[in-house]
Amino acid sequence: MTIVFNTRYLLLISSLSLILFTYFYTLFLPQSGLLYYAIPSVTGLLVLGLLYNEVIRVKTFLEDSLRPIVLLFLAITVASDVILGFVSGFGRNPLTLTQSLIIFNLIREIPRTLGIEFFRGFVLSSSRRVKTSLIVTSLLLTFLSFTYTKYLSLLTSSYSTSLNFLVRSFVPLLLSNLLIGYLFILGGIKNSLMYSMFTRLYIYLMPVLPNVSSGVSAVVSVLQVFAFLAILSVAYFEGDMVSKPSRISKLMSLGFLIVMFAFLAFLLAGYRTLVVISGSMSPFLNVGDVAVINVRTDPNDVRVGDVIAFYFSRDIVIHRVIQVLNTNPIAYVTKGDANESPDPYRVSQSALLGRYVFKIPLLGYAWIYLMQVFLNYQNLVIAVILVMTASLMRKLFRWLTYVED
Amino acid sequence: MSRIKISFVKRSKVFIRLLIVALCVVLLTSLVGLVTSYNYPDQVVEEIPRASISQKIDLSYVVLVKKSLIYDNRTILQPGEAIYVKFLEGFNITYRLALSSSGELRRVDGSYEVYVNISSPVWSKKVVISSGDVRELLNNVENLYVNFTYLRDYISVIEKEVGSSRAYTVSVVFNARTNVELTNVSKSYTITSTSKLELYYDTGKPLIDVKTSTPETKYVDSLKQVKPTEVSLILVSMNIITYRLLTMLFSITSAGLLALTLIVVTQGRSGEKSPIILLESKYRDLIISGKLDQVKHVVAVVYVRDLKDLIKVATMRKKPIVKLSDDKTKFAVVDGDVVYVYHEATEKQ
Repeated sequence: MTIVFNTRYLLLISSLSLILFTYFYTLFLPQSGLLYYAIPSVTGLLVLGLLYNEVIRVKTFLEDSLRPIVLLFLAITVASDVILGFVSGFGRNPLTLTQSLIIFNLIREIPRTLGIEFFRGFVLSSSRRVKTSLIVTSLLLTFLSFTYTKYLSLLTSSYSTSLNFLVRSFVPLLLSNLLIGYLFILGGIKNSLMYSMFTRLYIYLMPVLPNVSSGVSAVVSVLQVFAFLAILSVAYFEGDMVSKPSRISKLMSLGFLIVMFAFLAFLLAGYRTLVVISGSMSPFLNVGDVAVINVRTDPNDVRVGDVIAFYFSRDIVIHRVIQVLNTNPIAYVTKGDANESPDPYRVSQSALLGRYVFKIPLLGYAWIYLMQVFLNYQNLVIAVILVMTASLMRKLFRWLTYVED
Repeated sequence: MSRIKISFVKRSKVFIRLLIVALCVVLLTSLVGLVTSYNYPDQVVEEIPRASISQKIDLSYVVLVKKSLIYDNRTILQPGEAIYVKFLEGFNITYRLALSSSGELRRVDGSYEVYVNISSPVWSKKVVISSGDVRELLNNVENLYVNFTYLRDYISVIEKEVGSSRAYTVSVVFNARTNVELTNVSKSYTITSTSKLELYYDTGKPLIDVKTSTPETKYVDSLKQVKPTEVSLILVSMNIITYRLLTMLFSITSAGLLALTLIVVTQGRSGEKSPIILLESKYRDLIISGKLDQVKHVVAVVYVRDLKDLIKVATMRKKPIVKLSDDKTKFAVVDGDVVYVYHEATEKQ
């Protein structure tokens, strides 16, 4: 029996082994000290040496025309951080506290990024099933971006911890990897490396970064990927025969836009919607109802018997006014219709959100269910963007297949 | 990223192999060096003694008793013998302050105090017997007689005032607080010692227990010296931190050079074929070899920029591609009165 080894398989196995070694070396070598910087850079350089010629010769038809678009992506990345910083404030980047830290991080990250990008390029250029390769490579590289101890800790973590990790850490990185892979397919290693290296080094070189929560950061990150793919779609895909949307999708898009504009107009007119999650106002308001509140209510116009929404602690409560106290400023005594006694607090004028206008029965159940699954609206937004991005990528792949054929 | 072309690729294969092996050896050695360096601490803290001083109040005693048959008419008992309260008259205690140091003493002063502390579960009383300068005791033997008959009378008087007890402890305590300066150290040390002789006296028991404690007080003044771990590497001794940094730089540099060598060596080896050859082999069913004669009624000649475009035309129009036999890099598709031509040489210009 003769075993024939293909050179490309050998290269793939060698480079993958080096990347996996970088991931698992902490199992048998000390994690601290200079090894943290030495091993990823050594393995990254070796992967680069093994795969350079295999990847660099891959020519793509958009190599030159994609470069300005990638530069636009990078400009958008910086601009969105600047805007976020002005909105929520800037914070000192802990990765740039000392010059030695910056130098050591660069020693680690530059070869590591080179290795990863050439590995990605090699896999994508070697496989006939580009779509599958892109998904598998992106999943693998995303998986390897988090320590195995993180995954082990998830085994004993709560649902919220696991979901937050998945949605706020894993998904943004996965989408970013998919985008980089797509950039390689369209524009070759120069473009994918430029984007990847910039976004990587940006974190290690920027002295200040916007001071935002992990949820906001994740939303911005996935939105950026979606926007970049949309830009690619507009730049290359527009006017192509496969890109022409069907009548149903046209109608759906139109419907979606109409609903969005109507909702925006509704908000601008001073109305807010609140989902009822307790039965304290039953049967007037039941769990799952959506209550519409007029936030432009004059506090002096509130009368006994009116149903008002007000802030209490970190929640919003909708209860009926049973007494208006003519204090200065005005305060209200409230009570839930289903409660036996009045609320044990007085609602001040400043806590008033608005007066109840009407309700949409049962519509809120969807929101309640979604919040049970996604825990908060940020996770929900990320999930929606993920679906939209997946749909966009599917279209882009169809177009790519068409062009290549 | 233009191709890296370095003249050493033209050198012998043996040289390149040797270079790769050498770089691998340097890489592995430096990595192993870096890993093993973490088995050693960054630094060792050593304590170097600067001065040591010890002080002790030596105690010895004899027991004075009445003549009796049980003691064979002796009036002096040695430590360790059973003492019957009935015959006990007193204790003759000798004491001496012993001071020693690692260096020559420059100055010694301080104070001492000898007192008797009588305590019962109900009351306690301290009576100072003597006090003074420690220099009086230094290497001189002093005597102290404790009259037990007097002590019992003293206890009886106090018990009449505060109430009687059944058991008593009588402690004869010797305290010395000495200030010492040594000739070789510009620092003053204070050392305190306490020795005791304790009697446990229970009115219901015929015997008295006697215990002495004469602990030696030692004071060692030492300097803590932090010694960085040294590593010897090819006859050069260096700090382990520097060693780690060097091994890291060596490993990264050798990995970089190894990568560069691999890039240069594999540049022309990977079966690299021009895109035209690859396309030719892929679409060989569409391509025919031939010579293009003068084509009549040609309305237009379209020079396509890429062979892919020519393949596209051939596929769409279902026409063969003619690879011209007089110019191997020239391809054409004849579609009625339009000729589509691709010429690699023209394209490169």
